This record gives sequence, structure tokens and C-alpha cells, in this order.
Amino acid sequence: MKVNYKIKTLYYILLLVCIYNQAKSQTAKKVQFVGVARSIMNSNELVVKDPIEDTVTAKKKMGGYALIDLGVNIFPNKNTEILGMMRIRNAFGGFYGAGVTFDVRQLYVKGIIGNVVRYQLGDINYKLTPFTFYNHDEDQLIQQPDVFKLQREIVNYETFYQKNTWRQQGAAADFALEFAKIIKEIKFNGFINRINVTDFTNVPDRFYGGGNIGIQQSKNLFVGINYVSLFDLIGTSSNKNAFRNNVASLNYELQLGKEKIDFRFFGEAGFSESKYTLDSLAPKLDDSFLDLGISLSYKPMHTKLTLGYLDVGPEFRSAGAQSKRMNYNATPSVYNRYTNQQDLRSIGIFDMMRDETLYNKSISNNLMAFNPAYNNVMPFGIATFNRQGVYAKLDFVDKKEIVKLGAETYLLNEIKGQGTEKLKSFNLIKSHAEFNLHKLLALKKNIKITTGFSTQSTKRNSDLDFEKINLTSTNWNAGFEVEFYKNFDLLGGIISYEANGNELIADRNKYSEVTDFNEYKINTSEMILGGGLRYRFSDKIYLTALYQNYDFTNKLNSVSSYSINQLLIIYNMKF
Amino acid sequence: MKNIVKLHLFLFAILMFGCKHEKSPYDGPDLNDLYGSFRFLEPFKSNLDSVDFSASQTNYFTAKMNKLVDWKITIKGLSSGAEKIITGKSKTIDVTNALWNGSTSILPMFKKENCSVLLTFPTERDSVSLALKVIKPKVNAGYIVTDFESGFNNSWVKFAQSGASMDCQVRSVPPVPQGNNFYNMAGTVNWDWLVSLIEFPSTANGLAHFPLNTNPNNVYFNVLVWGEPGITNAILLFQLREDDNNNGTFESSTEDEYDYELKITWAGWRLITVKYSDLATLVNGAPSAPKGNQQQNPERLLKISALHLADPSSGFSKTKMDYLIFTDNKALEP
Repeated sequence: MKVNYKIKTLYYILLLVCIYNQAKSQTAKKVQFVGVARSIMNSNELVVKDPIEDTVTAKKKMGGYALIDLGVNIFPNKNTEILGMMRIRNAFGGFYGAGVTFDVRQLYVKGIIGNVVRYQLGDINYKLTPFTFYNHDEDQLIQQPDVFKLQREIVNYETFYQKNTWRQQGAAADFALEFAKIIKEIKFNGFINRINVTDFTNVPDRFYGGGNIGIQQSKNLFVGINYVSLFDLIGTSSNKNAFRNNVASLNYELQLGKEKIDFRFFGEAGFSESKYTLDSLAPKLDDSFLDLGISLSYKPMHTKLTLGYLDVGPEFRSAGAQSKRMNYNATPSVYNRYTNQQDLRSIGIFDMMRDETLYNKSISNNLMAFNPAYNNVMPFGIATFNRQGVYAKLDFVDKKEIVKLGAETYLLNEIKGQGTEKLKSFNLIKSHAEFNLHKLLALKKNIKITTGFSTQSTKRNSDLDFEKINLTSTNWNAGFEVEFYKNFDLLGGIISYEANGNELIADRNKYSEVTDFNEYKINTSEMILGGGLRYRFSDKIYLTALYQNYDFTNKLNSVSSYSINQLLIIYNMKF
Repeated sequence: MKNIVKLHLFLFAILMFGCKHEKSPYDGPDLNDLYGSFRFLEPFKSNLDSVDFSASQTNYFTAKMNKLVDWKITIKGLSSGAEKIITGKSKTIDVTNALWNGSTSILPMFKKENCSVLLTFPTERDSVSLALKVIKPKVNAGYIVTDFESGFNNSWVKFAQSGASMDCQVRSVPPVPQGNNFYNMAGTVNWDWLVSLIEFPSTANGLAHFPLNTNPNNVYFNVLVWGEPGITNAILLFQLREDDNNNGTFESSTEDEYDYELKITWAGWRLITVKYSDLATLVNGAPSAPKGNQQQNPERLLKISALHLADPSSGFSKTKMDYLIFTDNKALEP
């Protein structure tokens, strides 16, 4: 098996070289090498805060790897681009090839047919609207200090999270028609991706496809019609019971500008349908959603205020918009078990920041698990079902970009109760600020301070104790970046996360129907302290040494408290 | 620009009115059922204080609770020790889910006796009891081959080896699953599998053949069998012999015999039921072809033999049987 794998890898390398030679042999054709080189070394130490010393878990762990993602970007003609990217990764400690892996990281062909239709085959990053096909940000993502952001950027690179797109394999095409009157332009986009491969018996081939028609009536008005469908292809396995999830929506944007003030009206509404074709036990879930808003930009103050109304039905299901990044059923790759009883260690904010193995890379047809402590207000992003309410956002950037401020709040309620007719209310406040002091002091070297804060609460009032819900989570962070010598940065930061209260978590069957409720009580605090040095060779290359201390305290004593110390050296280069 | 604003208002209206949800009250099970404190809304009652099951009277229980809950009604015969258990999960106990026709869940069968009725809830501390009198027990439909209530019938054929501790006779030592008597089979035979046998010819009941339905799919043979605690070597072999040529006797070389072999590995009384059409001819425990017309003819059954077998090297063996009865269309509900 391993030999076959290596032969396959060599085949891909040869194929790339052949394509490269072919392209090179033709004059006036361009070939570019792109990619990333990275080396990480880390040393971890676990401290379990049990009254009885943990003598089972190995407390110190060293690790790391070196990798290179080598991509050949080939332009055989002016209308075609081919990218093939190989990954060679060597875990530290492996030698003579024992720890070396070869992978194909990216492969696509894209181009233009007849100067009209753009197409792409292979790996595709795609998104439509936040309710149809969208990779929503991680739970509780607020702007974080650079000392932590570096690892997060690596996670995003590894998981292909780029601008809220999902990385899929398939085909996409788009073209546009321009008109002289009434309508300025109509854009057509379509895609089809293969999500699941058949096993020829129970699991059929599963595809995710759709597209949109974007009508730009004028520079002021845009109207879009969107449709996506997750579907099993009947006939690809002996299982005739096929899953279907269809979502259609209409969105628009109207801009009305004055000299100093810009108004932007926006909205999206649509409906979904989820069903199995033959399963008599499966319910057919139909529902609709609505997101309407207005944003006002006051240009002299570089300020933008957005107000919106959100209504997402209890049975609205959209696989492409409700698949979560974080897979809460996964276990951390480092110290996944601890204590003398070798309890499973649950995912904490430290793992979210650094562990790419916890992240999901595909569309899920089932509702994924979530942790109410980290996100109970909108666990599936703005497409979270059973939510109704208003929201507001405020952004400010001063003229010199010395201060950047952002804040948003959501005041939501359930539409349908969970086990009771009484409804939960949800509040979320997020804010972040960035102070570029070097611009204020007119210094050439960077001095930046960042802060972030978010709090969320879930409440359900009742005369009956068992119906009462009161869950609060508070997250804040602060950090600095000081360039103390040319291209040398001193980095520091702190992240704090506290969750306290109770909730009843719904148990759902495979059709996402609620079958039971599990009592959930939490009183935890997490804190990450970090500091380090970074040398920037250029904008794309840096070397950094970081030290981080993560402390997890469980005040309910249901699981053991612990802390993890990490020393980390990263060399990262993009080319 | 005015047209754009109008179009915007039109789109706005479409979006606003396009969003409607069909709303059921809530998702999932009622939290009150899962976590609410328990109480009775209506007390636990029986529709009758005393019941005559032989006159087709039925008894049912009623109660109302404030939450969906698992419940268990245990009716216990105070002199027989018989138990009937009715379980359910509901907010209401009524005739649809708590009807008692006089049958038993744990043998023996109910007699004319006083009973206690206890309602309990596995997830709650509450329980409530009431008293009930069985004036006459249930009469089971079917043809009774014997219930041993009249003692040993001299028309039966009995054979017992001359082993040690042999005890093959009608006895009345409690527990008795039905009536007051049963047939005891016990002994040690270390040279042969056969410990004892007893034959019940139809003539012992004054009939040429047992009066059974002609369709073997509709005929069920039922017997109550005792497993002696600590003894697992007992085997009961029932042989049902048909008079294929209707001459009033069974010729083993030319007529059908159907068998049912039972390895007794449990302790206590148990109802054994076998559909007539599921019976097979056995030779030394292995299936074999019947020697007669090779058709199951329950209406020509003229003799039933019960053989108590045990491995000769396994030592003392013991079992008991009672209430041999044929029922139509369904198994006996004792």
C-alpha cells in the first residue's frame, strides 16, 4: 500500500515535470513556482492540577516538522493556467525517509473559453451568500494579538480557509452578459463538487452544486438569485434512499450615495428543503429565512453603521452554510488524554488556536456538534436556524489609520421552543480595537496595540427551575507588537475566556430531529499568555520564537484543571 | 433613481412577506416530562373491586399523571404467588393500556384469591397500591390433555427405570403453576438416557383421537415445564403420534410421529409453546422423515408421550410438567 502510494506520488511529480517541460519548451509561455516553506519546532509541558499527582501521562512532548509546498503555476497559453502543488513533509525525528510524506496539496486547471466563459477544474475555493454556501468564521473569532495570530494563520493555510470559502473538488464556470439599456450586466456562476465517494453498497456518490445569477442593474442596484443543492446520485450505489438539501435565495443591494453619506440597503431571503427520498421515518424539513438591513457610511468620520433584522426558521437547513469549521467530536492532537484515569481532554481555546487537525474541511449533511460555552448564540454563523432578532455593527477607522474600531451586537430570540413553549433569548456583543501608535508618534518602526472583547449570554426565564437557562461567556484579549530594531518585533498578548452557567443541549437523531436534552453545566476559565520575538526577513518571510502558557481551570471539578506551556519556533516563507 | 427606489421597495416587500414559518409548539420531548416533579392528577383506581374472569369480566386500571412517565403495575396473587405485570409510558393509565384479562406474566396462574396491585414508576419514588379480588380465575380456551388435577389416570402408561432416587408421580408440592397438582419426573439412571416416560393416549380422555383442528398451522401445543434450580441435564422429549390409517392404533413403522425436544436449562416454571406445524420427526435427536403419510394431521393424534431424558454420566436429573393443552390460532396466554 505504502509502495503504491509512493509510486503514485512519483507519478504526480513526473507529470508536473513533464507539464513544466512542455510549457517551458514553448516560447512566450510563463512558468512560476509558488508555495510555502515552513519549519516548526515545539516543546510542550503539561501540568495537571489534581490533588493526586498524574503519574500516567507523559508530561513533556517535543515535536515539529519541516515542509515545503512546491507549486508549479503553468500558463501554456494566455487563456489557461495550471497549478500543481506537491507537499513534502518531514516530521522531526524521522530519518532516511521514515518520517517523510509526499502529498498532492493542490491541483487545478483554469482558463477562459472563447474569451467568454471562465472555468476551473480541480480544487476550487467557492462561496455564494451567507445562507447558501459560506464558510463562517470560527466560534468566537475576534481580532487576536499577533503573538497568537501567527499560529491561526497556519491553521487557516492548512485548512484552506480563505475569505470564507470552502475548498472543494469539482468544476466551476462563470460568464457575464452586458446590456446597453435597463440592465448593466448579468453574471452567471455555476459549480459542481463531489463531496462523498460511493462505496457501491450503502453510500452513494454525493455532490454539491449550484450557482447564482447576479444582475447588476446599475451601479446602485444589484439583485442576485442563488441556488445550491446537496444531493446523492441515485444509481451510484445499491442504496436508493437519497439525501437532498436544496436552498434557494434572492438577495439584493441598493446603494444611495450622497456627498458625505452613503446608504446601502441589503437583504436576502430564501427557503430550504431537506429530505430523504425513500426513508419513511425521515421528516421533510422546509423553512425560510430573511436577513434585511441598512448600512450608513459617514465618509468624513470614516464611520459605518449597519442595522439589520434576522429571521431564520427553525427547520431551515443549508449544508453549505451550516457546516462548521471546528469539529467538536475530534480530540486534540497533543495531550488528548490526561490524568491518572486518562480522561479525554476536551477542546480548549489553545487547541483552537494551534491545532489544524480539529478543523473540518468538507460540507456536512448533518448538523455538526457545537460547544455552547464557545458559541451558543450563532453556532452555525448567521445561518443558524431558529433565530429571530436584530443586529447592529459599527466600524470606525480614522483618517490616518491610527485607530481602528469595530463592534457588533446581536439581540436574538428563538422562534420555536426547545422542549417547552418558552423561548430562549440570546445576546452577543463583540468589539475590537487596534491602535497604531507609531502612526500617532510618527515613528518608522511599528508599535501596535490590539484589544478585543466579546460576551454572549443565553437566557430562558421560567417559574419552573428545570426550564431556566442562564449561560454567559466572556472573552477578552489584549496584545502588542513593538518593532524594537529594524524588522525585529517584540510580541506579547493575553487571551481570557470564561464560561459560566447552564444549558440544555439537544440530542438530535440523524434527521436532525430533537430526541432528548442533556443537562450542561459549566464554570470554567481559560487563559493564554504569550510572548516572543519575530524577525521579518520580508513581508512574506519570518522567523519567530514564542512562549505560551495556557491555563484551564474547571471550577465545577467535573474534569481536572491543567495548564500547558509551549515553546515554539516557526520559520515561515511564502514564495 | 425613483424607479430604483420603487424596485427596492418591491424587493423589500417580497423578502419580508416571503419569510413564514410553520410552527409546532416546540422541538423535542417536553422538558416537564424529563425534569418536572411528579404528581398524580387523578388517583390510581381499579374499575372493579372483585372480578370474575371466568364470566369474561375484564379489569382495568386508571390514573392520570402530570408528566409522561414509565410506569409498572404489578398484580400479585396473595395465595398463589402469581404475578401479572403491565408496563407502559404515558401520562394516562386507562383501559387502552392497563387492561387485565386475568392472565399471568410470572407463573403460577391466578386462582380464586385476593390480590395486591402496586403501581410504581422506575424514575420516581412514588408508588401506590390497591386491593383486588379474583372471584373466579380465567378459563383458557383450548383442549386440555391433562392438568393432573384428578391424579394419575390409570389409562396412562408410565415407565420408570430402576435407577436411584426415582420419583415419577403426580405431586402437589408448591409451587404449582396451575391448580394443585403437577407431574414430577426425577431420578438417577447411569446406564441409559431414558429416565422415565409417561404416555397420554386419547382414549384416557374417552376419545379415539384428540379433538384438534385439521390445520397444523392453527394448532399450538402448550405445556408448563419446571426447571430444577442447579440441574441443567434434563431433557423432555414429547412424541406426538398420529393414527394415519384411522384404525385406532399407532404403528410405528407405517405412521407419522412428530417430536419436540426440550433442553431444560432454566430454573422455575415456564410456558413452552410449539406450533404443530413446527414439529418434526426426530431419530436420536436428528431430523428424519416421518414413516406414515408424511402429512401433519392433528385431528388424527391419538397419543402423546413425554420422555424424561438425561445424559447417563450427568447424574441426578429432575423436571416437572403441568397443564398440557392444545390451543387454536395462538399460544396459550396463561
